[in-house]
Amino acid sequence: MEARTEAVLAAVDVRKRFGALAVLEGVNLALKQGEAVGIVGPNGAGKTTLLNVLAGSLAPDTGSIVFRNRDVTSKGAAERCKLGIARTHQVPRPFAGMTVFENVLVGATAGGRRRGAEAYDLCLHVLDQTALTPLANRRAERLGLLQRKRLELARALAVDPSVLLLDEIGGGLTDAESAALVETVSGLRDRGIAVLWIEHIVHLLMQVVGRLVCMDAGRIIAEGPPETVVSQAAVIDAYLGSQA
Amino acid sequence: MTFVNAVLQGIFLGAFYAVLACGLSIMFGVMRIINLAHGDIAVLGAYVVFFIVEHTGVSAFVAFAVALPVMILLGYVLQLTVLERSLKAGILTPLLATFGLSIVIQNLLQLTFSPDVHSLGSSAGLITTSSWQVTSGLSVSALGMVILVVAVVVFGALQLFLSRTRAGWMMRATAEDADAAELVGIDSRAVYARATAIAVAIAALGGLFLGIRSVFGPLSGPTQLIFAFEAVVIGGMGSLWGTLLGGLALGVAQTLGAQIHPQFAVMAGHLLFLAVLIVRFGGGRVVLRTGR
Repeated sequence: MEARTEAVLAAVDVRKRFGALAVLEGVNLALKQGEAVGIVGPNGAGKTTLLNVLAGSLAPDTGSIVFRNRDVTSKGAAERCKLGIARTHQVPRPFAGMTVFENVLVGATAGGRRRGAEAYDLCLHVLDQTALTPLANRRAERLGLLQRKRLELARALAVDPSVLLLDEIGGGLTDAESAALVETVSGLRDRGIAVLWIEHIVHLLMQVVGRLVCMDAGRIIAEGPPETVVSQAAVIDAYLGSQA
Repeated sequence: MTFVNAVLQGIFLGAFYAVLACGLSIMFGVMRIINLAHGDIAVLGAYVVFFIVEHTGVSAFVAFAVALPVMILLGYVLQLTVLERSLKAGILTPLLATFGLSIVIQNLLQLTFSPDVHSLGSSAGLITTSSWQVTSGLSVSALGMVILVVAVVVFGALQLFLSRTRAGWMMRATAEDADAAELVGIDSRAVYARATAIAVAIAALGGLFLGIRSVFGPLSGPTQLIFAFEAVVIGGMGSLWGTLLGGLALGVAQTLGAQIHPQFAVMAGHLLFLAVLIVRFGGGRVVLRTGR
């Protein structure tokens, strides 16, 4: 219980079914301020569904989502975003007809509640952070996949979140880009942002997170320091079992 | 010279169609709702203006200024009560809902105002009949100029709204991807309500021009809907400036068609619409865009 009171965002006994398929079967997870937590697990483990439930895109069947000791289970995605919960999508969903700058500006003015020069400053900072400044006036539909992924992160950062939910933003990056991403996310963590990061590329996670969670079939099957978790038999089984 | 005059009159007529089509385009662009009651809402706007004129004797333009807040409020209420619910039930439900709304509006108007036709022409003052005779074959009507200027101002103001204001950015973002917009803190319900309010307000403006240009009755809506719909499709669906150009193209097609034979006017517009449909058939993504 102590962990829950100091948690920024927590899922408490969250269950979610899609028809007959149980996707989340009683997940408990708490994120502390300035903490980075990684989630690994085979496809279909319920990782993205958990993120959707935390962000408010999906309502859990039972269980609750607690943000700074407030039950936010009934609040929608837009309200939770204004509270400070931002997320990225595995498949980037930029506002295709708007420029990169406008995409970020929407985040800063809507979820980030910034006005005028303050909003512009935040956008410029975020674009700089994600190396998108040279592309600021390009329409999002003209970006390549990796640039779209950076824009996805930039738009989430523009709402000035206290909790950042990342869904596989590391895929397909070069070594240099990976290093930059690790540096960016570490910097966010060090600024006090709680980061929950789903990623298949485990070595990226290992460089950033202080805690690793492994999910399989809608449950958390292992949790703890990254080195310990990756070496556990259950985790290895879950991966090999689904991918064999 | 008759050809030039026909094109000019077509542009004036087209500006009227563009104003009618504007709200239809907004609702389709932002929410993917094809509002089958759009023409009836325009006619309802004309009736609200007519009602105020009849009871107070003010000019139609003054009456419109009074009617505008009423119509904006109606837009909000319409979205939050009827359309919001129907949107949740899939893509066909809003079509049915607005079809039903169209019938309801027509019958309410018949019940309240009788099936008689009315005009706002006399209450609009001199503007209805004034014109400048440029040459023997070329005349510029004051009303035509007013409608053209208002149309350009309305579309220009919308462009500025969408590209320069916070509410405009939020509307474009929601039009692109409502779920993603929610995740950056945009309440799509509020954005949709605002979009419908704007659409209904501009439809009422179209109703005002309809009433000044000619006559209207409780059942005038569907005809206006067809012209508005054709303008939107010719202009490329969901594109704002495209809708203005689509309206102008439709108007010019009709007046040029009338040069061939007076009975051919409306048909010429339909043929242009069909031609555009065939050429664009199978076309790609449709989203509200500010630029072409």
